[in-house]
Amino acid sequence: MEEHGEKYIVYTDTGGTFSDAVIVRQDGTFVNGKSSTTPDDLEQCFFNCVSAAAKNIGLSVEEVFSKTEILGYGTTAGTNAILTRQGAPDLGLIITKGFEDTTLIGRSLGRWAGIHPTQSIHVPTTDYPEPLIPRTRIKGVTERIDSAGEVIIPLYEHEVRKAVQELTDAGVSGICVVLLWSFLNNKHENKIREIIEEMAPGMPTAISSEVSPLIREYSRANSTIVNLYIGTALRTLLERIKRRLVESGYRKPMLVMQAAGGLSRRKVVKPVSTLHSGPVGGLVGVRFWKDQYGVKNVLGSDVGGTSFDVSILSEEGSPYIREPVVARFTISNPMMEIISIGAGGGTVAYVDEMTHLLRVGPMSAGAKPGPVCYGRGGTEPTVTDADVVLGRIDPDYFLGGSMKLDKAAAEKAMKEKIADPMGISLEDAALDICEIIDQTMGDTLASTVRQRGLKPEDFTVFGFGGAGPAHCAGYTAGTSYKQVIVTPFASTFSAYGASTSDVLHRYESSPFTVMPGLPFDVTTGYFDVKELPQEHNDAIKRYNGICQQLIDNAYSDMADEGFRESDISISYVLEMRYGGQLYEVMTRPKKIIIDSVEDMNNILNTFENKYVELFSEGAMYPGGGIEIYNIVVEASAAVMKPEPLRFPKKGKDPKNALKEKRKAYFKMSDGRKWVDTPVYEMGLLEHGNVVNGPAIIEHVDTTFVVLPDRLVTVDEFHHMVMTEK
Amino acid sequence: MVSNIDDQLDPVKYEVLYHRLEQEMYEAQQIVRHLSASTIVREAGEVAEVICIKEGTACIISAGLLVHVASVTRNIKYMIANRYADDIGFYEGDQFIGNDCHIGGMHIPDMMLIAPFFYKGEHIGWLGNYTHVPEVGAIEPGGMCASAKEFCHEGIRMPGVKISEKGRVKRDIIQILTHAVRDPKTMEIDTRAKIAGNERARQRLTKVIDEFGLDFYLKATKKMVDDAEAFARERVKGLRPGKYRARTYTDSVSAFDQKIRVGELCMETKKDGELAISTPVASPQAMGYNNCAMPAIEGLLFCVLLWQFYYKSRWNTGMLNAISMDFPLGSVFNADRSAAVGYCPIGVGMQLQGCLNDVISRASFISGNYEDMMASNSLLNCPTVGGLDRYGRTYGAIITSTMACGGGARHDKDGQDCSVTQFNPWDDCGDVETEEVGPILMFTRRRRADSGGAGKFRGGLAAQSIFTPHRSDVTFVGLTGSGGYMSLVQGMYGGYPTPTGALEVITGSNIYALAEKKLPLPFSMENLDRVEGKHESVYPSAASRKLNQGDLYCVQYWGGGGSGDPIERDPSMVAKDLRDGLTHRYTVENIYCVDLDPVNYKVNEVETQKLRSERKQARLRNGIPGKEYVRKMVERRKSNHLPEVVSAFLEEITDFSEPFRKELEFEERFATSPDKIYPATAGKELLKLTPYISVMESEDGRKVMVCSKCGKVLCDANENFKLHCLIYDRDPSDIYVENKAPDKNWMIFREFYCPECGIQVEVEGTPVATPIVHTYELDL
Repeated sequence: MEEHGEKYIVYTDTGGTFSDAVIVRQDGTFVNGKSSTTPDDLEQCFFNCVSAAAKNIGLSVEEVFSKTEILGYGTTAGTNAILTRQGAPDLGLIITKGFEDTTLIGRSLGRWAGIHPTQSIHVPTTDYPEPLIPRTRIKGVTERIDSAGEVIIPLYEHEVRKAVQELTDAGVSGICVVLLWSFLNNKHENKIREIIEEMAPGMPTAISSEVSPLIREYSRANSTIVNLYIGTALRTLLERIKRRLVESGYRKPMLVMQAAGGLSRRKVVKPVSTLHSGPVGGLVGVRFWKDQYGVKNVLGSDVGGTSFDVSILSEEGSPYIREPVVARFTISNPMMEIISIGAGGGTVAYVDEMTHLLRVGPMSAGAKPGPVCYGRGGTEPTVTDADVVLGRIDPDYFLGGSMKLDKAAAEKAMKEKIADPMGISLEDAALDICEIIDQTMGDTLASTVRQRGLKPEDFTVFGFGGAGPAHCAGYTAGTSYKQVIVTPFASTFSAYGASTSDVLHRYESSPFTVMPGLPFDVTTGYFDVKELPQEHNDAIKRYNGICQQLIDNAYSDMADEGFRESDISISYVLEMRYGGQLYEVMTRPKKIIIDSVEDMNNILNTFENKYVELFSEGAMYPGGGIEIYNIVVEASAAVMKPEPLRFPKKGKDPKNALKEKRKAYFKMSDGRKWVDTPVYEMGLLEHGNVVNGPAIIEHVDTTFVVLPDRLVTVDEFHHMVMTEK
Repeated sequence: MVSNIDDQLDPVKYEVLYHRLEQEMYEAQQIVRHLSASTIVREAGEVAEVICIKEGTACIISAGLLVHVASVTRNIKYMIANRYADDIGFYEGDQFIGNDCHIGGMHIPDMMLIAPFFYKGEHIGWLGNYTHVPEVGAIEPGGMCASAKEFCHEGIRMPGVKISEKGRVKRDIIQILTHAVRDPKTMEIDTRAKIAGNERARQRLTKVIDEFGLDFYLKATKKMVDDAEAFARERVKGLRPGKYRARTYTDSVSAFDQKIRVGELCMETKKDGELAISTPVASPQAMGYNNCAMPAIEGLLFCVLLWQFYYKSRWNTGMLNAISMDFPLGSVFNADRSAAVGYCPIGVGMQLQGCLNDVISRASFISGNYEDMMASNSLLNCPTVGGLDRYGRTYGAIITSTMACGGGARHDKDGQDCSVTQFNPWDDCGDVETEEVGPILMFTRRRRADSGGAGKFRGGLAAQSIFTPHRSDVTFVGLTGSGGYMSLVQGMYGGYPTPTGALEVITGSNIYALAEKKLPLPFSMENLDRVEGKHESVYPSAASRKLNQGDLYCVQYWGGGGSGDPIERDPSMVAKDLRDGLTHRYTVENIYCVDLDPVNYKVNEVETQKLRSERKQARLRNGIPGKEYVRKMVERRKSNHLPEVVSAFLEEITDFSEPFRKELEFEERFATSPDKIYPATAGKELLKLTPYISVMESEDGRKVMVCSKCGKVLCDANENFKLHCLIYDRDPSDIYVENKAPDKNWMIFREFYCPECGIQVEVEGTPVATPIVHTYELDL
């Protein structure tokens, strides 16, 4: 293959166990490389996996970097630092007096957040996580700003000085500052920072109104603390990698993946925004292929070892979680919403001791000990064991044969733990497990769409993740999706996806724009505003000011990233509700600044339409007026993207890809039975080939199971499009 | 007793249906939650959506608040029993609104919407949901009114009224509701939210039955109910059969009532897996709002069983078939229709939940299920705020800091601080920055030192909050609460009950003037004297009163009960608590008997051992032998040499409760019975009854109770070992010096020591001269 003159996109993803790198060519083809994550020195695995990928195209790391146009990095380093408590030691916290226990009380939900409800229901066994800052290094200072942003109690600067002195005497390595309502008025927080700088020059600080200028002090405090806790180590790591990249010939900016679904330059990225950015890569990949296919609504479904992650991208964009939970701390840095349930290859099946019924999950054998067939000490039968027992996964071709699976052990465990207690055959036990887990995942997938007032039949499903293709026929059964698409690189979908990401920044503010008494039509329930309401002039003026500030920040930061104004696209989200309600509806108006009654009506109409779609007209409550709770401005700019190769069309017959036939157990129209099932090599399938289920399509790192009632057509990207027969 | 229809059901299809129904009901529940206008729905998740089988039992419940799992079932059964079908009629598209807490629900603010569910024209089951609405038109804003004397003071009461007929909402009923309350806006929003939730559930369930077939659906849902019962029975069979008892007292104080009330919970575990729960000793219902209707107490106790005991199960109201409940009608736990009951679910009802925590823990300890142990959790003293917000809109809500309660101490750990409410395992007390919807400004929300019961493992600490009206000239604040004179949360195994609740109101405070001069402000109940103004120490059950901006409302919430003898607490844990400001010097030195350096918190081990040894010696000196103690108590009762409030209590309860009379008679007999001779030693341990008491067998085969610390034989195994301890009436103000201690005229801490080694084996918070509780009656 001619490599000269090519430009590459390189993306590396450091996971908890493995690090992946993809080197993507402009034609969309790519090579990947894998290496073990080196937790003590993350720089090393960064270069190890790039080196492994480079080796696959016969190049050195230096040769790859010299041709690299864009380098992206996704890392779980931050999350791991929290989990292992290896972030910045001995941080201090200065907080509004009277609220010193805010992070320790944790809104009460700190006791159970991040624990699965089937476990957290048992109250005596739930506990708060070990705090990142203990009570002894939390200092209260007298001050108070109210919910209108007005100073009610002035800052007691002498208390600040005393607090800073005590913290520095205690040897803190950084100080976080979190004051109530500071996102509306940051005067006191800024003053505290000045005093810290004066008394302890160079002391690292994190100021809540900067890290996360959003309402709710508990999650804002956590974001602020985490930003400083993981920040120093992350910045040092990024600096070291960058230095070595320069030595290796890479001179362009290094971009870091954020949980909000876009890249940011190393120098400006907020450490806390990198948390949970790994799974978001898959979502970005879904977005890339959504555009390639020109479809409006897509679902991403990622089946890993322990979790089934669903992401949704509809015509109106993708939803965000306002307060994600990371390592059991609720933070306020919005991340792209990935609905996750405990279901994956490692999910454990068992017979309920009381009711004698078969249950599957949510407990998982995880990576260690893992399924029984891994031979790493697992004793409880899992979904992957069921796949092996059913003949769907070839024990000699798992990870391309690099890891031999112990089928006999899987069968023994399945027999003893499931089949015998239930009085059924081994294969029926395994098929029951698959059907239950498939349905559990299928319900989550379908309800993700329906809960948003959308229809599954409008959606295309992407199935990826190591165990995704083995089960996507099962978990899409019974719901009429438009189509189901499996890519040949299903298990590295996330890393590849992340390589297609744009540079993106997200800005938010909570303005509390409250406009009661807006006129409405009593017969229809819709607002009927003829002119801008004079009584709300001040509220609108303040709201417009906040909007303008966010937009200005967006353009200014993107300019710092090196983009021209014409390269930048801006989009908006307003979170709104009827006055008196407590939950917001996320709307996406085209314009947010209110200059005219038309602007106002556009915003109101966008809200009403979304509200009715979700809850019906019967639930409208225009009498309450309107409240704009949160403003979001998103600025993005495209960077170089691969142009995927489109292959010429060949015949329908997939015979060139047929490897063998092997016995696999399926539910056929005339009952469950062992079937001589054709096995195809995924890499040899061609555009136009049609594979009839039941069939198995294997690739070095994944197995695609085509159920008897499904048909697979290979499309121009060599993706497999599955439909019902 | 797994259902005999098992064989006819495809187990995989059954499992799949279960997951599907769970998802669909969760979606409908979220519709209600998102549309509601109540903070308690948002913060505490007080919302549910359920599917019931035709006879009313719920088979699938998506609940934010477990306490309500039985509410919908009870309402449906009421409508069936009252032959609604004969005249009112059940038609497709109908919905009924109900909030009569003598039919179902905790109290009047719990409103539910119930829809008969039809499939292809046939009435095959029910859908239902509920939320707690913030205003019901009672004598005070809210619906949990401290000034309510009787039922008709508690607002509008709907006993299952058709609010939607054949799909059309009845505007007349909506108007009855909205015209009867102070906050019509919220009432209408919440009612419409529930209508929308049931409608979404109806659409989804219809599709599910289309897919699975009606016959399968009916059999499977019946099986879900039967399976839940089977599970419940299996779990109980794992416990040692016998009776376990716990007792709690409350001070019922208002303008028209100043009394002590008692409730004893008896949990009997039977060999067939039935759990029989009763209150053999219970006071008559009170004038005032601290009573329970039967549906509430059933839901409250069931909720604790779910999260502390049956938690591994897929639960539904089928479990209730394995539980029997018996509470005397006209008692505080089964009040008749004449009574006000507003405070029940977070007051005396929640106290009885604490008793259930205690007996489950005791039964679990004996069976080795240590992970299920948790001493009594707390109850709630709940501030309510009403009036106009800064935009001039009507407003009504609770201060959710009240949810930041302490959990009871566990087997080998302290209770969790500020995070355990009995009715919701997924507690959420919200942020202070929820001020955006309320006319208040919060000055303090933080843990209060020593607010949990002291013990080897201390109870979880509670929060305290101080707030003032803000940006509104029309703000009314009240406190739904109790416990100004008594501790309402007991300890176990020698751990102490908690301090009392407290409310301080400071009107006309100079807090903003102090702030201008940058002088110290009060950020804790302990330094309220920093502000000038009219200070009132108010009993923590206070009718709503108008407050002005700058007036301070200061509330101390409840912690959890302690467990184990405090002088066995690890001194390093004591030092850590002191360093973190979670305990006081007095407590360290006098309750935990720890000597440490107040600067570096280093423990002086030698001195600590000496202090602890001295404490045991003092106990051995001061403790009165059980029989002598009982004799003196009997004499006091006879001579009526008692505080007035105790005397009145004894008179009332003796008259009302036959089991209580029998206890008095037993103690009279015991006081004069001849002393028994017990073996000097016993060899073989049969079971560990408590961390300090074992049942052992002597060489001659006699089963006896023994102090497991020193081997002292106390009594025969079928006797109440407490009667054979040294006993001492402790003035609670010896224990809680910095916090508000129970008034000794209302409650003493009765301490029980081993007569040989002086270890403190139990403590009862009890009015003086009341009978000693016989905690265990086991089938040995």
